[in-house]
Amino acid sequence: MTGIDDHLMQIKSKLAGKIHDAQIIADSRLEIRTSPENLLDIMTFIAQDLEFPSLEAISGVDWDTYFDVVYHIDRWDGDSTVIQVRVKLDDRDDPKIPSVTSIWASANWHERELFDMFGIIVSGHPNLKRLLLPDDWDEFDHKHISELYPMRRAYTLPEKPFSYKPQPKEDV
Amino acid sequence: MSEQMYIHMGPQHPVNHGLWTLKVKTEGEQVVGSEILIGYIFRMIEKMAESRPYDTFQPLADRLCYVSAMSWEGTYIMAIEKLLGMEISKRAQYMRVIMLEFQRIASHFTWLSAYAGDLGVLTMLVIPYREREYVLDLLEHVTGSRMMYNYFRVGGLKHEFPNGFIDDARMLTYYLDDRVAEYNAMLEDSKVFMLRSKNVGVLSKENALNLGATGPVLRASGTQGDIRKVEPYLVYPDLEFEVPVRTGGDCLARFQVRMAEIRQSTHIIRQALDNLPAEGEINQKAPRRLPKGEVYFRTEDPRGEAGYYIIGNEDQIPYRVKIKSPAYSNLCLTSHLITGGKVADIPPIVASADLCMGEIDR
Amino acid sequence: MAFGIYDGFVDWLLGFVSDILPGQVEFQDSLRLTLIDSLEMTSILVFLIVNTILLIWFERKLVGRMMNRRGPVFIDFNYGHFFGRTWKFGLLQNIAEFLKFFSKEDIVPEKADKFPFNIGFFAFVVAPPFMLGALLPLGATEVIADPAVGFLLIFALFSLYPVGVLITGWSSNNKYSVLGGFRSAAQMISYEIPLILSVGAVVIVTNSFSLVQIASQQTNTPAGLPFMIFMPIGFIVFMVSLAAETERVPFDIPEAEAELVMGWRTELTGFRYMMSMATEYFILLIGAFIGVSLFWGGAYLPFIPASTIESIPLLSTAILVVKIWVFIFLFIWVRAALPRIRIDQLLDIGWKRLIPLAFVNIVLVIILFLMNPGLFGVVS
Repeated sequence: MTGIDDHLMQIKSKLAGKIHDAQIIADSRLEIRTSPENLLDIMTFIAQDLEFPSLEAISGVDWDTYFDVVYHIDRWDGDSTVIQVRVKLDDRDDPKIPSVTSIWASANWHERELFDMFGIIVSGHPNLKRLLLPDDWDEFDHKHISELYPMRRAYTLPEKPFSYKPQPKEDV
Repeated sequence: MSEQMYIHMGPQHPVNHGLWTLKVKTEGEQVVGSEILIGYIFRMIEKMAESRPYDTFQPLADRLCYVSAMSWEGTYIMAIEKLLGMEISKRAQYMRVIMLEFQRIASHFTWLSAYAGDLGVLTMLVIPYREREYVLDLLEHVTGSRMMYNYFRVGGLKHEFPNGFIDDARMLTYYLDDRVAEYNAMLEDSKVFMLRSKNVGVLSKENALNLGATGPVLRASGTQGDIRKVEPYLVYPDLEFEVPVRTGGDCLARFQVRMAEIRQSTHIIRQALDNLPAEGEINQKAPRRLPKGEVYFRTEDPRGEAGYYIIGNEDQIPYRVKIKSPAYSNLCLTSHLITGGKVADIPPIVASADLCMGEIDR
Repeated sequence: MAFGIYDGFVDWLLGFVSDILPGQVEFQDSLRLTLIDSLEMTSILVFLIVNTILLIWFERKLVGRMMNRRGPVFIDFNYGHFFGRTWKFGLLQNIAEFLKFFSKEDIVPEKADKFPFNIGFFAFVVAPPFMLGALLPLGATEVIADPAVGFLLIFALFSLYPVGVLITGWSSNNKYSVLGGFRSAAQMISYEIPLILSVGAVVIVTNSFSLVQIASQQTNTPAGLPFMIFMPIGFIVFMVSLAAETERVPFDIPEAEAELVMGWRTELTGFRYMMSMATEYFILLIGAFIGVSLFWGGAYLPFIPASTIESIPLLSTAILVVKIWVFIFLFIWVRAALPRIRIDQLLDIGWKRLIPLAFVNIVLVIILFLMNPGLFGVVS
């Protein structure tokens, strides 16, 4: 793949100072590490200058002390490079990230899911409310506060959740 | 009528095959706005994947979508193998290709019957199910199950093909080719079908990319977006096939793309059956622990690009599993497509996106 | 105009009564006529209802076969077990389902406007087709009423149906029903015009509004060929408009189940739902009666003299029934093959294609008629 090296060179030259690190992590996987302040500039550069027209997925990762938000961005025409933008959110109590819906419309639901599952506030999102959980989920009577954002590590499934043991039959 | 009114379609409504709500704002017969509400069958499958040893998640991956279970479990297994750095034998790879392509055919038949049923051709609602049943019979013969197969394993497959499978499969592919020709005659030659499909729900190439369309929806808009070609996995580079692309971007183009894909799939299956190596280990031993690292692996699901983002942390249990579902993006853009059209165009547009709520809500 | 088969029975009955009560009763002639009339009315009602039930069975069976299914199978008489299988056709399935619907609770939605919901439905949807029954000929001579305004009356009663649909849909206060009702009204109003225009050509050449007279005039054409041969455009326009009037596929837009659940009848349950569905078939049956009388020569066959058919009792009725079933078979066939079209496309077809075609048909028929009136059975 010649494409991916070109992309890496361009990113390193044009975005120097805005990114923490850029490297090829696997076949046709290019990772950029950055912080939320520079995210929109980087995304605009990727979408418009590198011509990556489609956003695949936004995944949140909870590393106990901080959050990562990982964007996978794709271009379809024969080039299999997927740019993986990894944004580190240090402030765990008030995680905030700018919205990229103005660049890729498909980010809409992904960002809502991010808010829904991790409680990461996506600033600038046109319609930031819960997607998969009910709208009034916050008002429910929760057993534990971690149920508010269930994909965080604090929320765990019950012990031995799925080991099914048939109970011995009681005599009638 | 100039007054606007909201029509709720769902969660129980014929237009949505599955549980979701489409809130449509109408002005007479004109749709002026819409909102989609999902989450009715949210099961936190990602959390389940993060709470158990990686190999025990595979039966749950089947449950992501009941129409294309094989491809979801296949994607998961292949992602894990990539993370583990395993290389599986050629024979197992060919067998996987055969299974995945049969699953694609079955899924497209289900789609066809849903689409035709939404247009009101009740005959075509029933008949594709007959052909799908033959495919499912074949898959059942191999795996012992009609829908939730649990056939792939990390390192290969559960067991060999049964006796006589090769001949049955080859005969079935020829039969299916005939049937698809028949469907085309039934639908594409019908003027009313063309009236209802042509120029309905047009998605331009730029919009398709920007809104994150994948799979047949993307290819119907003129982009050569097939992971089997863009980023080949298994033995797809060795097999000769083309990616059907249409430029219309409407429901008709999506129909044609899917019909052409069925033909390509039968073509692939026949090649794979011919080239299937006689010898090869099909179930290797796999390491118990996932290494530290991450992988974003994607395959071509019948609905589009299915992806797993898996982070391993030197443990049996994956640290993070993110599922990228093609129907999720395709449903998101449906709201964009129906706005500005007629109320009567909602069913074909929604159906042509090929939704499966299991993988959307996850 | 009478069936002629009840005269003897009524005479015998009246004679029997005056025999057992000698000298005490004296019968007016009007009583005899009333008795005959009511027997005839009953027989046509029974005929229509039995035919409707059989038609629904026929459609379910036929569409089932076309769709690679078997249709209703189990609920039937016991014909026995021979030739290696049990013979059952599901003939009684519809009766069983009618009983089921009758046994259900009659629900009027809480938010519905009660008065129009009840009155509109029964007065305008259910009643008119039953009234139409009296005007239908059951054979060459078996006619109850043959008013000079035949068609005008039939179409006047037909046009009450969309009013009832609109009232029912609107008053049930459901968004699907409202949309369905408006669609129905728009569709029926725009398709009534080509329907009447296509019938107009027939009226021009026969100089009559009576179904019986039009049917019998088709025996005077060359070789007794029906009007369908001489005005094919008119026949096609008639068929398409009739499909739209009776809300059959591909024009079942008012009840498009994909987007409107059940259209204007979403809120109807149990008995009401059954009546609305049965009425639809009833109207189809009446449409078939009209179509057969106008374009397929009614109870007569080509090449066979009318006097022969009339001389054998009930032969003409049998011919009529067979023709009606063949006519309806066409609609069932179309239903199994075509998707539903959209309301704006439907209106386009109605106003931009069918109405001009109907006028072309009238002009062609007039030219043909002026050239050779014998073609249309006019004996000069």
